[in-house]
Amino acid sequence: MTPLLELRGVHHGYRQGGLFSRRRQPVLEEAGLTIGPGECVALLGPTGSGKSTLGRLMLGLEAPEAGRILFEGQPLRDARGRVAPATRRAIQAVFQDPFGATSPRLSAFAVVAEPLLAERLPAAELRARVAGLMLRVGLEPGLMDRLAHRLSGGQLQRLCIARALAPGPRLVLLDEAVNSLDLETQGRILALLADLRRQAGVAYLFITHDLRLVRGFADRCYVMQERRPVEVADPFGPGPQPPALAALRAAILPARPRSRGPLAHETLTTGAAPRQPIQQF
Amino acid sequence: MNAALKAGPGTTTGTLALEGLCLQAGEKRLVEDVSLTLRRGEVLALVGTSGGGKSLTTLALLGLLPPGVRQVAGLLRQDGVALDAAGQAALRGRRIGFVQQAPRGGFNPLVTIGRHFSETLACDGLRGPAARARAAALLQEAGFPEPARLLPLYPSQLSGGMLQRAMIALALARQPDFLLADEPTTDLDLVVQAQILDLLDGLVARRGIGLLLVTHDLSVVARLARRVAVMQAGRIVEEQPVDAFFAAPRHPHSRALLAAHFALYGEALPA
Repeated sequence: MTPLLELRGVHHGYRQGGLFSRRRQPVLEEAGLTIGPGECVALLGPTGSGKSTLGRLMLGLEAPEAGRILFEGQPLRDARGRVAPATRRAIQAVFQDPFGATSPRLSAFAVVAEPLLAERLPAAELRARVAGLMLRVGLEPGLMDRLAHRLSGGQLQRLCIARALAPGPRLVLLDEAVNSLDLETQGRILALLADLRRQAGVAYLFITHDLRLVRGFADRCYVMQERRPVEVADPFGPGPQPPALAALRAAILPARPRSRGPLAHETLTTGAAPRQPIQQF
Repeated sequence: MNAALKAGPGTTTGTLALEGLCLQAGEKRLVEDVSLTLRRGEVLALVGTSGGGKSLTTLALLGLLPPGVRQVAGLLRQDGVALDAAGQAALRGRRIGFVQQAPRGGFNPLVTIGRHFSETLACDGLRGPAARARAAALLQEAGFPEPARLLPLYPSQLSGGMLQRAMIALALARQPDFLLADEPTTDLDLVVQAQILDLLDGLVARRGIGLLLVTHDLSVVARLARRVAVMQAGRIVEEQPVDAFFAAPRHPHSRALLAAHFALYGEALPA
């Protein structure tokens, strides 16, 4: 079966230093990765490990210095560097900061309608489509005429997911898409994304630095090690792991507090009677 | 050094207490009757979902409420003594340091790291080489092995984790008794987060700072806090020592937060 997306021997880098510096900082070297149709693939790594660069290449926003990127077996960009319109619709993205990813001037309706404008739908039909998309991500269509930035962070991220789903994508890049949300919202958005994948058969590349989010969400897992993704069979299992994964595992904080004994003001009482704390516990 | 350093805990010295804080915007109550006590050398975590009033409570402690939000009730006591508006304003920067979520927003992009320090240290009359030496010492305490190299750099030349360390160093510049940290590690990756939490833990132990840690991440609470206050819809719904909170949360909102937290670790909430 042809993979949905494939990276082969990709090299990429950025110019470092001042405006006139010619030194290049390599970010990706011999990077390879495959995503099957409907598959959820996690890409883990700390800040600066090249995860987001890989995402940008996958969206066709930049051309790699060397190597091939194939979408359904065909080169992502043609000889002139353009991504075919159908492919562009098929690959969508949701980013970390929903406020940075939407215009403060647009209403919620306009945010979701934007990728549909090319279809030149009649106004009533367009509103119905947007309402349907908002319902799919658990947003009340009544919010449609609000300014997008009047929504809460969790609501706006749902709106960004609705926008990504609007053109009927085959692959959605989730670049730290839940990291700026609070824990409960994080859980709800992940559950929503898992549902949408089951319904729509869309594949995800789930980029994160938080190994905990991968559990129960991703089918396969890569970790960035020395500028290339390395596949790991079981990121939580025992046995040998790439050092980059070991570092991410070590950085996970304990789920519970270590016992530190009683509170300082409870053990050390001085001559003066302690003033009654306001909240009793 | 101030008197609070010499006095032992257990007395009212070395405490900062907020009593009955009410905030509203227009006719809408945002924060309702919130009381908190910070003690030196202790970490109090303020947790809850976003929009619950955690950040507004922190800003009210600093007298930095955004336009349109009014404080309609509430009293701040330092060591048991009620403070008037002037006394409250004098706390900010001097007795209370502030570390905010997005470190990039806390720095002026047009000014070097060194200038940020010299401006702050000048408040205590420290200038020239003395100020530079002090800035370097503060940055070293925040974990920069070669602090002098940092001073001529602009904020855009530092990574998010470095900026957050620099912000902590800057918040310590006037030797505050208390530090308010609003989601100090939310924008950082887990590896950097662990380093910043180690740094804050060390400051509490070494300097005896009282830390108010505002966060939605209960693993950060587990790592650092001694007491936990849970906020929901503008009210404090539960306050407990951290061990008791994790073992036996009382309020439904606390249980929901802990359920989401344990799910991240592939565990269910203990019955």
